[in-house]
Amino acid sequence: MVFNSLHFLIFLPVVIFLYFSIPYKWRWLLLLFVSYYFYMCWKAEYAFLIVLSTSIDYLCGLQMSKHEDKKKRKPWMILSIVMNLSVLFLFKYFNFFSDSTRVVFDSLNIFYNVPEFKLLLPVGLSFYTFQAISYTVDVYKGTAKAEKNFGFFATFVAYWPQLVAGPIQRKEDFLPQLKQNFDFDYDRVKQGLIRILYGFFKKVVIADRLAIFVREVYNQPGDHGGFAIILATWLFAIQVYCDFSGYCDIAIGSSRIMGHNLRENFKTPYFAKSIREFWERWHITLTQWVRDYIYIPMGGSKVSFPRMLFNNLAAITIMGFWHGANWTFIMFGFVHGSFIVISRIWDRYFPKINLPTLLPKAKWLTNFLLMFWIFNLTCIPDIFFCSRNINESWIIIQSIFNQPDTTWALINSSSSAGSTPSVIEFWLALFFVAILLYTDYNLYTNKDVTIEKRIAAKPVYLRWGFYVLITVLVSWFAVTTDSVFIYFQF
Amino acid sequence: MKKLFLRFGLLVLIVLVLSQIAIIAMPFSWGNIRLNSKYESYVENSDQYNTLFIGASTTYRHINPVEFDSIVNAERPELNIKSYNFGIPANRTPQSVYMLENLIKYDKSNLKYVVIDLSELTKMGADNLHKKEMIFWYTPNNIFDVMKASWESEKGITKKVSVPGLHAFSFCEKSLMVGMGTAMVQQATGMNVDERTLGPDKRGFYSLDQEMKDDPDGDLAVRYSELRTPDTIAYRTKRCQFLFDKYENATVNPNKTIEKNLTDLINYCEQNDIKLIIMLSQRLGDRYEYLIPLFNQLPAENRIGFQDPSAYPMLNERENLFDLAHLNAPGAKIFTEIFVGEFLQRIDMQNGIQPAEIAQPDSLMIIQNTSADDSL
Repeated sequence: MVFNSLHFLIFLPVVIFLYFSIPYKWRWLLLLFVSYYFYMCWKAEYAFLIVLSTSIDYLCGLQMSKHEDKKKRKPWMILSIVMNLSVLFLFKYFNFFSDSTRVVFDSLNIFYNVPEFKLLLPVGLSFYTFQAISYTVDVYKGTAKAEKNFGFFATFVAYWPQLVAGPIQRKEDFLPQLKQNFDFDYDRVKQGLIRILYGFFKKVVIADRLAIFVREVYNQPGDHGGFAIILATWLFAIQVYCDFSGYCDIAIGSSRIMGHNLRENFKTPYFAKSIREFWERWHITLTQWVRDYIYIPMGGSKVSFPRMLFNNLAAITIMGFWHGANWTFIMFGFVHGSFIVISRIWDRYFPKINLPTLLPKAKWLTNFLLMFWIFNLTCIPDIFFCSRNINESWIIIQSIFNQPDTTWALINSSSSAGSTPSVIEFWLALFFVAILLYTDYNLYTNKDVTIEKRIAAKPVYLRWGFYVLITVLVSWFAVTTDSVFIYFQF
Repeated sequence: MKKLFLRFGLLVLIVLVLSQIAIIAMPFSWGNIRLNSKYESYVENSDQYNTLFIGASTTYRHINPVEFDSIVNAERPELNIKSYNFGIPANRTPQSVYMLENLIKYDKSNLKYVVIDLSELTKMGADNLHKKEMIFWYTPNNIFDVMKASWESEKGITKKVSVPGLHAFSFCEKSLMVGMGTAMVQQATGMNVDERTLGPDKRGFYSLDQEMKDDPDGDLAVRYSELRTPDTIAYRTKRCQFLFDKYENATVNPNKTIEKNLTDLINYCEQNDIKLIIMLSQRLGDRYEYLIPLFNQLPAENRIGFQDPSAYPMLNERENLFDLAHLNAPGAKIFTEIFVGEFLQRIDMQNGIQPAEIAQPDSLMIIQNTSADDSL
């Protein structure tokens, strides 16, 4: 089930109604049931993977809790990690490695006859696998206690709002909330609904509208050139942000209604003034996961400077590879990792050569230039992220310089609505992006404030003005063609 | 929870009111760019036109107003016909009724003859959800009729519930203008027009082969190459004939609501001194099952039937077809010529002249004789 569907619009109120109607001691059971229903709407048989992951991690956690000695816990942690990564490897990465091996063998004229593994990638596999791994590692490290109740643990793994695309939760943050009794609270429910509405605005009004232009360029590499590709890449950067953060807003809002607080995943990332700040604001739960379970175990920054640079590059490249079994995602991570490496070298050897030092009296201008610069930097790896394969990525990059500019043709190309002139869609998209930037800038300048809290602090006429405006925008300007969230594929 | 429901209800009400204001401010045609293009062009010259053809793609692609006018005016100069084609792909019958009501409302002073081509009545699949072209014409009055008609005509309780349910859901979407904002902005900025829809003569007729010639990379080229094989044409004609034979004499019409609407429309046109003719073209799929029984209930002077493939064999010949459901430009020319004869006959019948007294136009006699020979 996807959030932007009629199915979900029926599912959500029914779940909320049932949730507040039953005694709180049974709510976990309801959540578990509806979470599996939510997942099984996509492909019922793949629910067994969640059951498998849940069962093994639960048992491993229980076994680890029986031992004080880390050495005795370790085999259980390894078992859990191996099992989780095996499933991930089998469903997500096997064909990639097999194909890559075939290419190498073919070039060496060696016969290679491993058949392709023809199975659909289970939706959200990377998310719940990482969540399960974080649980066993935390139990192993002693930073989290093993959950004794299988029902609560299963609900923690399968919790429907974040099951298929995060935000990735940590046991100590989230599982205790499942055991708490939350009564119906008007203000909290209202805040949840505002967050959901804002998520829909980002997804169906902005992301799906921008997708019309992005698809036009990236689905036909070589057909466009010049500034049109730069424009499409800018639009993709905003599309993927609105798509994923929109999803997270709906997940966070749905949870908030039921009383649960999910971790934030985005904090106005395109207002970052450095590449490292960008990663502190973009897909935060994954970045923190990679930091805690890959980067720090590799030595983090408490090693020699060259080793630290390697750790940075490796961790971000792995994070890129987490997105998908494709060289495009490896390149996406590698280019981002390279930017971080360069920024660290720059900070170490040229600390005084930076824009704020060069333009000390124009703070707003330096801020703007830095933000624009970082936004453009992040767009470079997005070319790989958005392309279907690495060859197409190169074609697209070359087309920026080799092909004649097709910006006007892109803006006027046919849209999802067929005969609808997309020049209207284009200007509408820019108008909605301007609204997004205004809202995000407000959130950026008021640190740690979420949209729903910001709205709640306004006088009643402004609050209602916002409700009406956002509802009208979502209703009237939703792109109603079927579309799934980009991060569902991961 | 009560407070939440009340405030949520208030919010929906405000959005509903704003949506209705926006809808009222726009012309009836705004939700379909093809219709709107035709409507805007028609409005500019409405005082010239006295004859309208309203229907789906079979009207749009088959009746050439320029051809029609020239034949009719040659046969009956006193009628002084000037016609305009309002055919829109995928138009349903209730939508055609809606269009005519609005066109009469706009200006009925010059309107004398109207032909409505029967097409889909109430069918609504889930794949049509959210498509503004399918739902922009819903009004509180016609949605009730469409739902009632769906209930009457659909078979099996699942369909009886799901089809009206989809209509009801679409009506809610339309009432809140879900996904229709872009069309509204297009309308407001004068960009809700696609000149190509008007065809080369700017009279609303655009033959499929002309459109394919104008847009060689479009979908039509695929349709043309894939569907126009002799085998599929023969099968399609055979199937169409089979269904026609099966329902030819059907007298029990399950679509009482649509029948009543059409009868009311005939009366309404009569009151406004407009002669209304309801046409049934050749239709594929299971449409004959409900279209023929409905058609058979209409007064003889108000209906023209082309539903029998054996009666018009030339309309099923490969060289006159573009695809399985549509004629090409030469086919449309033949169809228009045949149509003129039938049209004049019905006009005469409505004027009290019996069919036996009516001489067929010479051109029609030649075509029918030729095709009879060909069919042997």
